[in-house]
Amino acid sequence: MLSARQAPPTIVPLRFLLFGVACLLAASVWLLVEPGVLLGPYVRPHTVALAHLLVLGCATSICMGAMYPVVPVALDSPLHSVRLAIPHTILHLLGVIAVVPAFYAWEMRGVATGGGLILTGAVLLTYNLARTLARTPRFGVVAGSVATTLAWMLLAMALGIAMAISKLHPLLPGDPMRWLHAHAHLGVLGIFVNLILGVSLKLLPMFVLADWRERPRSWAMLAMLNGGLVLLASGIALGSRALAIVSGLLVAAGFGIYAMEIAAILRARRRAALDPGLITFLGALAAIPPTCALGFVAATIGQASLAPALRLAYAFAALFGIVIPAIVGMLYKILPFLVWHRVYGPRVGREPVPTFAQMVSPPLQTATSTLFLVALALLLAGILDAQMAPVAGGAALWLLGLLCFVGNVARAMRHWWRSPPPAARERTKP
Amino acid sequence: MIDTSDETAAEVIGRLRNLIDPELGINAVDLGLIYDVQIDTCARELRVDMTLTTPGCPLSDHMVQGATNLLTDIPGFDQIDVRLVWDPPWSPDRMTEDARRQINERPGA
Repeated sequence: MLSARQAPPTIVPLRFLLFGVACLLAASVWLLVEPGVLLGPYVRPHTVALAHLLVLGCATSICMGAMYPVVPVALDSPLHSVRLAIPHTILHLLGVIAVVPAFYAWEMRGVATGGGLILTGAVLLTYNLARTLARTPRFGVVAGSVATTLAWMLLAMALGIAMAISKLHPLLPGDPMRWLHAHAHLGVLGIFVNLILGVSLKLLPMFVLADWRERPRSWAMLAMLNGGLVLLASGIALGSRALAIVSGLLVAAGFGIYAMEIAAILRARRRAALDPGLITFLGALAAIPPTCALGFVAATIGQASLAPALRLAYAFAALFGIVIPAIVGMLYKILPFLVWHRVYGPRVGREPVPTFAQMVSPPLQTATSTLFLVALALLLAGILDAQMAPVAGGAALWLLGLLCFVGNVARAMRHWWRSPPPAARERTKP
Repeated sequence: MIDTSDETAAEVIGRLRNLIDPELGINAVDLGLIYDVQIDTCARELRVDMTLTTPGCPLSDHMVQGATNLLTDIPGFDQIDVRLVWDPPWSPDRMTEDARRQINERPGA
């Protein structure tokens, strides 16, 4: 049985989460200051730098940080090593700080070097979690999701570095745009969507008090998503539109099975009301079908004049419609939990302690979700219509929504700073 | 259902109503987390078997220590032993009517 002694100290995931939130804030301010990055061709230094600030700085950092406390809970298996998390944190943070300015200046040596630091950190994380996975009492679909996420993470990062090196010395054959599209799909689908889908099958029933048990179709979902991604990335890299579309349909079918699982969990839930964090998360899941549809249209339209805008809108919808809102929704659960665990856990039974829900503001949560939704609609309309005004307006609303979220992060963190626990009280493995 | 006809058992259950699940905001008794209370007056030992809503919950140490803290000054006992058990696993069916009201349980779920 897992206990607090076997979980990593709260500071380990917290460093990643706060760095990720800071990167998201920086990216949102950047978008407001330079909305033109979302208009026109997307392989431009500023657009690519902004994308990596979001993907590596925000989404990857938060997913990596969240894996440290969530994976042991989801797998009922203690983390192999807390110590390994320290060099991983340093390598990842330094790597992101190097990669984003290097993309901005289109300096590929810096990109490859920073990418190497991030990849080395990811190797440490993979080793740590692979040893953790090896001790899980039962290798279920959640464990399968974590294992495949780690594999895609290494592959996507290695491909990214190879693409940067290819700008300096011939390395990858064929059209660089194909490799770019394969890299983006490996990252977004293989890392973020794969992890979000798998872990949510464990966490969502916990939060809504539903009795969910793994079925053969849960494995079918994982197999279709990952098998489809193997074919999709291959199809894109080989330039086979037919293979890409067919494998895209396989991935979409995997999403369909996942939707059936989520519907079953929600039907079986005992808690009638869903809190705003869960609503944000479920809203992100609801964005998967329209994003897939956008992807299919972008794939079938070929080289028509609208194609670059459609592809950019597809990538944007995947990030701002699915990945970031899903992360924000789950952070409303994870962040108060981490702070509570350190500050109030040792005080249970000695004095009144708040619940997780009391550590954040529900009106601010609702404001975040609402503003994100309106901003997304405006930004997508602006990208597709190549109009600056809706993009700038959407960027302003997005930033406003994010500030509401940051306000809630600050509310949760205020407990951390206001009530430091006695050092000896934190029950963590040294 | 735990027999609370004994005065000490009633005291134990009363105190454990102050042990709140931080995710659900409901006390451990109404959630049905307390499985057994054993009182050995001769050995001056009090034992509580409790569970949590999820196996692998990282809050387990805090909840067990919290229960121990709440019971520690009940007179007449030298040893308070709060044990975490996972068999039978907890299910929402164990919640009291009061807890069901608090979570606004969905009819027919």
